[in-house]
Formats: sequence, C-alpha cells, structure tokens
Amino acid sequence: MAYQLYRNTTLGNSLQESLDELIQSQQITPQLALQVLLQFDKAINSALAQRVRNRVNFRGSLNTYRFCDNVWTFVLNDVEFREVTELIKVDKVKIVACDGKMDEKIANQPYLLAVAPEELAPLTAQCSN
Amino acid sequence: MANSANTNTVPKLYRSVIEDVINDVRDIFLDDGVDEQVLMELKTLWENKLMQSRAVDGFHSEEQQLLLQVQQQHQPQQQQHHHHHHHQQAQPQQTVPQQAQTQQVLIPASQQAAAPQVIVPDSKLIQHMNASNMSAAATAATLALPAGVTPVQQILTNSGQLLQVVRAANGAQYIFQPQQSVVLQQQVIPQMQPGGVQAPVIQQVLAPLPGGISPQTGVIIQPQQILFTGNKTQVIPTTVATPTPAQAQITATGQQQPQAQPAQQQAPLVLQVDGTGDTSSEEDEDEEEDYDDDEEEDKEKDGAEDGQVEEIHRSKNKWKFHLKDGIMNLNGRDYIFSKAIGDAEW
Repeated sequence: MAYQLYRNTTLGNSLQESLDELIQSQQITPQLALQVLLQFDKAINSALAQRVRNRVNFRGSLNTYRFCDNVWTFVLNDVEFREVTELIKVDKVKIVACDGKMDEKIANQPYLLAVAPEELAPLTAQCSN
Repeated sequence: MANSANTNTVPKLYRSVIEDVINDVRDIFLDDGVDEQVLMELKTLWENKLMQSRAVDGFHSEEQQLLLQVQQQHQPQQQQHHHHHHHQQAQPQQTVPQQAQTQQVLIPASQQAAAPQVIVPDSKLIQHMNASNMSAAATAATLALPAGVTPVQQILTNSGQLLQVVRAANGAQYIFQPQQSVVLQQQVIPQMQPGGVQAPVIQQVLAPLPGGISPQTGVIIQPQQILFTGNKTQVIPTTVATPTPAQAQITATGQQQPQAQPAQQQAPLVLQVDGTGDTSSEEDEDEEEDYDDDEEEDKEKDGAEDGQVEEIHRSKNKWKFHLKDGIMNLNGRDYIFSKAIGDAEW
C-alpha cells in the first residue's frame, strides 16, 4: 500500500478531476476510480523513488509545525529553494511529509481482521439449513 | 528558458507515470466491462488538465502530436506556414491550441480568393481561446448526438466544407456534413443526465478575423462546458486569457455574446479516499496563478511540497529537514526532488 500523499499534486489532482468527470458522466464507477487512484499511488511512488535523482536545498523561517498520524506538516515563510540550476523564492510554503520509516513498517504488516463472536451468530444461523 | 534540469525531467516523468498508470489500469477497466474508449478519454482528460494547469512546461499530449502529424499529411505546403504560427504561439503562451477531445484541424484555404468560409489559423484561435475545459459529455451534447458518442473533430477542408468527425464509443467514426450555413449560431443544449446532473453546453461562435474578412464567412465552433467538480464551480466570462486550472471556463471574446446558462451547483462528489497526506483545503490555492505579491499577505500560498521524511531534527528552535522523493509546486510550477535538505528557524 503506497503513500496516498501524492494525490494532492498537480498530477494527482488532474487525475482525480478526470476521474470525477468520468464518474459524473457515468462512464466509470467510483470503485473503478478508486482502483485507478491506488494504481497511481504505486506508480508515482515508484517513479519518484527510481527515476528522480536530484537534490534541492532550502532555507527559511518556520512558521508552524505539526506531527499527527505520522505526517509532518510545516509552514515556512520567506523560503529559498536552491537547485543546481536555479533559485526559487517563495513567501510561504506548506510542506506535507510522511514519516518514511514508520509507515513502511506499518504498511508491510499483515492484516488480521477479527469478528466478535456475537456477530458470528446470525451468520452461522443462516448457513445451517 | 533558464531552467534546464527540471523542465526536462518533470514532463518526462509525468508522461511515464501516466503511461504506466494507464497501462496498469487497462486490465481493471476491461474486467469491469468498461470500454477502452473510456480509458483513452481518461488519459486525454488527464493530459489536458496537466497542460492547462501550466505547472509543467512543454507538455504535449500524444493526441496533439498525432494531430500535428495528421495535419502535415493533409496539407503539407500550406500547413507549414500554419505550423510556424502554431508553434510560436504554443510555447510561450502554453494555452492549449488544440484539445484532444474537440479538435479542430484547420486547413487553410487559398485565402486570398473570396473563400466562402473562413478558416481560422491556429494562432488566431489561440488568441480567442482560453484553456477551455471540455469533456466528452459536453462535446457529445453539443452535437445532440446519442449517448455514448464521444470526441469530436471538426474539420474545415480546403473547399470550405465543414465536416464533423465523431468518434463513437465503440470506436466507429462518423462523418457528418451539416448544412453549409455560413454563420453557425450559438446553441445551448442542456443535457439532463440520469442522475439529475445538468451539463449545460455552450457553443460559442468565434468572431471572424480581423483583416477585412466579411462576417458572413464561416466560423469555427468551440463547444465548452461548465464543469462541476468537487466544491468548485467557476464561471468566468472573460475577454482576456486568464488561466484557471482545470476548472470550468467560459470565454467570451469581445465581439459576441455567449449565451451562458447559469451555473448550477450540485452536491460535490467526494472521491478522495485519503488516509495520510491529506492536506487542508488551502493547499488547493497553490495551483492558482499567484503572481501578485500585493495580495499575498495572508491568504494564498506560493508553494506546496509533498514528500517523505528521512529525518527531522530540532535543536532549540533550529529545525533541520531531510526529505526525500518529493513533488513541489512553487509559484505555480512543478518541481521534483529525490532529496531535499532544509533549515529553518522557528
């Protein structure tokens, strides 16, 4: 299960909007759209991990920070992003970052679904004809 | 164009991701009994929105490239002059000169003669057109065609006949030759869909060219649509190209009055099933063109960054960030990194 983090990017949003349109015109079902998004998650995660090889530095002042559900959210002000080729300045930037290590462990854990005994009773009742 | 690395890698990466996703979901589509046509439509929509968002440079959809090839095949000589215009306009402005769904293959007639129809060169088209958003539903509606018929191509041939090539859902192509009425009127065809969704469609008549061509000459139709996606419904009558990413737009050139139906609000469709990484709504604003430094005080943001954490370190009020595999949108443009290292003081 790859991070769904990248759905809210230009690439991800345009995909979601396109899927929305198709759902509205009833050409696909919402379930199918969800499958597509899950596939997108996998594709973008692996593409970023494998096909991108560049480095960026940045510096600014930290306005706010938050860590919740293994997700960091920062808001920085007056930030300069430096890549080898160029310098980009923004007055405000929001960074959303998933904690890599923790989530990998959780993602790879097998699932165990348990059903409470009371809930099983009606099911068994149906089965026995 | 100073930036070398990013303008090359980002479009390529996006293209490859799109290709991968489309190929991977092809099976899922088929299993679900959904036609390949819909898959192609998804791809087209996706690419169009990316182009419209202008976050990526030099991003041409495959269909556009195919169309350019087709153009060249049809009219090699006249087209070259055409193309020159086309490309020149295309790059700097980065509006969508041809849209994959409603594509107008314009083949100039020998214009000097009193051609019965005006063929609008691409460059002029671009001036009149905004990054308009079209979906198959809209184009189908404009032609009042039965449901299931999707993308439309309008071809003005040399002889001045207006042909419409419609690609139906089953892949067949139909060619219509509507009456040669010279000035094609505006039509507003609301299409009620089963879910009670209204997708009003507006056909807009582009003004005839400057340069002394009589207004009686033929005209290109550009169907457009008001889209309702998510929570945003925007109806923007403008006379100037104002980019608004991937949302509904109605363009009105100064010379005609579009018959715009009032935009209808409907219940927003919540598709997103997000666990981690779901950001607040203000994140959306980073997609907008936000070059005005004046307004920038409190509301909108210049940038957003999604990535994964290698390490976050703090010492008193000095924070150090080690991030990896991220996508950034800064000042409206997309950047990608495999590693990002940052410092900030709180």
